[in-house]
Amino acid sequence: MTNVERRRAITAEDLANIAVFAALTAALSVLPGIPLGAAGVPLTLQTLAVFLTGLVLGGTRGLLAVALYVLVGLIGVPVFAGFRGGLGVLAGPSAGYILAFPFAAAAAGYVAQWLIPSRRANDGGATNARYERTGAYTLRLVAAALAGFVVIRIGGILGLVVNARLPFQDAFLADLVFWPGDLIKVVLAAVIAVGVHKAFPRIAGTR
Amino acid sequence: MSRGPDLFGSYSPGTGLLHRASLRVKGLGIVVVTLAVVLSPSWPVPTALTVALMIAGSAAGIGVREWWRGLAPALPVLLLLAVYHVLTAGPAQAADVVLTIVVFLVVTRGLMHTTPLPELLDGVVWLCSPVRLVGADPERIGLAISLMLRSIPFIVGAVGELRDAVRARGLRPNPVRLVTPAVISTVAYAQRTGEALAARGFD
Repeated sequence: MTNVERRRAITAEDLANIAVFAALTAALSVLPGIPLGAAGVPLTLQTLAVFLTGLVLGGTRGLLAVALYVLVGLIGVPVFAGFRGGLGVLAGPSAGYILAFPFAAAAAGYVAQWLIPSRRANDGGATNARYERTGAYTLRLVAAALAGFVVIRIGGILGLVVNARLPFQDAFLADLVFWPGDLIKVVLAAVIAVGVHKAFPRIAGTR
Repeated sequence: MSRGPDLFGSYSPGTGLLHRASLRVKGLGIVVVTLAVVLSPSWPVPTALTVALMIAGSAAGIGVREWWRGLAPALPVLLLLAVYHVLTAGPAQAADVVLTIVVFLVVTRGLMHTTPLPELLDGVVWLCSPVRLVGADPERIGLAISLMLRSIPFIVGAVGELRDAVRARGLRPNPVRLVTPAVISTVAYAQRTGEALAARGFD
């Protein structure tokens, strides 16, 4: 909770984390979907990567990492789901989702930092028995990722209203299709983030 | 391992008009096209622009296959939108909505085909120069972009190896099993990259 240095400059480690997590988001977005559950519906991991980046890097670095990913995609490198990329995406119906991603990562990251005190890092991190009770820890990260989920809904629906010229109600219904998959990814992101936090206790406590 | 198409740009050299135009001219062109499409009230403007740009692009050497690769991923959504708008507002609005999206897909293809990626990145760094106002350095954005592009093959490779490892043990590749170790090796990779940057005098 005690953030002594309020505005820290971007260090070499931060820059590397931002760039590499932008790359992770790109990799998980373009990889073929992983069949999930009994039905075996393949899901791309784009939003999973967005939530995860926020949960692992925290609000500020998460925002910058996903913003970098979006920037590179808009330049034309095909890093968006389905190997799409380029300015054309901005005119498309999914523009709202893509532009919401950085803010979703930021929301997930800031809420995670708020729910999980940064003193965890100094308490001995993963070896501290208190944090080995992962149930409550996972729930907090789920709550944080849900904040990102809400941001994506808002941006996505706005994008559908503006670009696809759907009335609000129809845009909401169109967005509803993505809820089950994205909610699964909220939980997955939290579970995965717990594993990452355990492996790298230091990263969980920093911004 | 399929890394997918043109991760490092789909530039192919040429001597046509679009190839010789500087990035600034092309950027201005994109602004003009955007304004025309946004301000235009109905479908003839995006239609005319789509046709004109496709002719210009084809003259610069974009073949049928490349157009298809640019447009195909968007087709299902475009079809859905077209049906929806034909049913609710008539064919004119359907054409306007769909062609407005198509114009920008065509613009993107043309830009990517005629401009090498490094030149595009330099353009982006230039566009980012206003960040100086908040005390950031646009060159760092350029560095971050190249670091990111360099890291994608490593991460895709890591996920692929894990997928094989999971399969070899007869397990189903579920996301948690696959992504957790991938992210952990990604974080380790980021830390090594950070140390390498620091060792080269980046502070």
